[in-house]
Amino acid sequence: MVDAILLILREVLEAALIITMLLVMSRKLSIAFNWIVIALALGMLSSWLLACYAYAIADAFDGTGQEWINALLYFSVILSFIVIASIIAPLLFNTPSHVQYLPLTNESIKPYRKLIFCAVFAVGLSLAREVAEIWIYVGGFLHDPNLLQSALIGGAIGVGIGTSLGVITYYLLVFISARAFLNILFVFLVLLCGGLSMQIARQLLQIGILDSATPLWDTSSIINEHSWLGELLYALIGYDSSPNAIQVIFYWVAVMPLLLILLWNGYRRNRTSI
Amino acid sequence: MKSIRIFLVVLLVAIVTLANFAAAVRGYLGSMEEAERLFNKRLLQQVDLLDYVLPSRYQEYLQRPAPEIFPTPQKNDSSSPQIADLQFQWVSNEGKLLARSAAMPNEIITDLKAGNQFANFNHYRWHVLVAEAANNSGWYLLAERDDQRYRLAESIILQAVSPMVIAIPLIGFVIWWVLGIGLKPVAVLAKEFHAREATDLRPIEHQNMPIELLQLAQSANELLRRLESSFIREQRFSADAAHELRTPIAALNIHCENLLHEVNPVPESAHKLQQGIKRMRYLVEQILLLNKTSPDHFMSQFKPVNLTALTKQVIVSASEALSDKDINIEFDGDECWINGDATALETLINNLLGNAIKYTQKNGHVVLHTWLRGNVVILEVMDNGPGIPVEQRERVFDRFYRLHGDRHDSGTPGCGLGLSIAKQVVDLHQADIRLTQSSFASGLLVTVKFTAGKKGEKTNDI
Repeated sequence: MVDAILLILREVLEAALIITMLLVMSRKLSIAFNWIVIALALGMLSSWLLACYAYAIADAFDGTGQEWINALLYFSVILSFIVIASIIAPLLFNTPSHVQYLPLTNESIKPYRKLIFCAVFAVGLSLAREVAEIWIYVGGFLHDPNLLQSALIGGAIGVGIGTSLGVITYYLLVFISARAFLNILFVFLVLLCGGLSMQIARQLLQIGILDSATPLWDTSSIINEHSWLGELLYALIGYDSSPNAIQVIFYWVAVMPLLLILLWNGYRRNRTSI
Repeated sequence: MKSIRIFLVVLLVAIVTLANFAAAVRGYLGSMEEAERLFNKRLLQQVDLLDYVLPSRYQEYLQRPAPEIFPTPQKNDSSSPQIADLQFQWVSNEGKLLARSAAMPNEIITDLKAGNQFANFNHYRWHVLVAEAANNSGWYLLAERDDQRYRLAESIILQAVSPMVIAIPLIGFVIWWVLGIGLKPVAVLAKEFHAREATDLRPIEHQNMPIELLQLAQSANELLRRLESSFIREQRFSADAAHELRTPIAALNIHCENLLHEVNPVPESAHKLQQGIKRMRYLVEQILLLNKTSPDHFMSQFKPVNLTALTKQVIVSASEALSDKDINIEFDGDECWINGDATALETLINNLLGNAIKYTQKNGHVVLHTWLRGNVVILEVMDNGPGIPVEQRERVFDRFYRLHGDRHDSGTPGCGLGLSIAKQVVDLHQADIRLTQSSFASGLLVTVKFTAGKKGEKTNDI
């Protein structure tokens, strides 16, 4: 049961945090929540398809199909986050009152359509990958009713804890100021993009596209990846206790556009204020 | 926060779920440890059983060339597959295998060190207790399949954990229901406010009201009391003003008429005086009309009104003003009925037609229509006067707002209240008024859209 809790909690927590952050963003910018229904439907449908064709996908490309699909999904989510970050970055440098009254200002200054499209894309693809793993995991126990009961109860507990944490985080973030939230959102996007890029590197290392090398450091003695804290950090920022050079390079390649967007908006703000 | 109830239910269920499931996980891990200790204790009890039988036969078994193999006992009860299979080996102090159960290998499965250990054989992982036999008669190695121990322990613990998971939807429903009861006074108060007419200023009953809402109800009652006294003051003032102003103005008018007859030649200032009195009378009438049709004071009940007949009647009553300026008046339309107040609607048509006549040049055109289009009744008043510029069309509904200030050359009195009154009547009837370009070369088209009503009992009813 503990294994089921850990595996499902890890998947659910990551999805719950992404959904929570984007829902709070919607609320702060007065965007209707309708998009989440489409995103959830898209995520569930695509995860079911991925789970159904898991064996066919795994056998494709000389047995490397699963890794390629995972890498592609991670990459697409990163791209969505970069676009979202580029839309919210100018708001970080506006005056507090501007951000506070942003929902009341003219629609034309808010590129909502692009933001909503990216949010649907990010949530849908994140769910596709994570929920597909849950389908496959639970499906593995269908033949044994005793094990299935344990897996289902563990899964329910994992889903419950992950969703509850998402809900509590949502209400904590809803009551902070729009400006403070946008700062938190940007940091979250940076950490998440970095974590996901390390997962891409890991997938490509597994199929030999990239050469594995000795880890740059090993922090498993401080925080083990398979401990509760390690699982939590993995879900939050894609924690890896012993990354190698390629993973670190991937991390910075994904994080760099976000940092450049931040610097560019800061520079533009300073220039206009002169 | 859009709904207090949803906010509280979602947050409370999330907190209860988190606490409940965290407790379930903690309980599960603790129970598994406890079960592990119990299973180990049970193995120790098996050692005691073996000690009753085997040590006395130690020498005999040492002499045997091969270990004795105990066959697997045939169980009558096959309905308990979850009981862990117990296997054992008996090993001499020198490390020679003396006896074993059938499923055990011939090799000694682990080191002869007293305590709990793990060993892999027969495709399974086994939990092994190594214990010294009594009277220095060798070692017992008792083994249980680890997966069966785990499953047995988990099946017991899951019986305690499952209800905690199943209970969450039930807890959610109970929280929803209890909060519904708790928030009922708020819903009742909101319903009472919502159901009230605009003119109902009775204080809110606050007996048996929870203390959290008492303050709100008391403040609302205080506000209603002040509002009511303010309305009463205003109504009294309007009534007094109507009486006190109309009488002296009428007297002034008579004196002015007399003056015009008595003095010959009539001085220019006497004509200006007459115009001033006319204008003052018009202004007072308009202000009183505005006050009468204000939503706060409007008390009339709506009835079916024949808008077409009413329009025709207003045209007839305006015939003098029309002939003064030789204006061509046209009327066309369907028979239209709406639900409304005939007096207020007459004022509306009167004001619109009056404006059209006022701003149309001599020999001009004024057209009135009443159309029935589906569920909508349309009243149109169109002239070929100077019209109103697009950017001014919203402002003309403001009180006392006059196009180009007072510098109009209509020659008739005006005070900038006509369209405000018209808008007020339109709002009272939940209708819509729009000012657009007339289909003449110049001029204004006023369109009022009402919801069509049922036909009244009498066809000539207005």
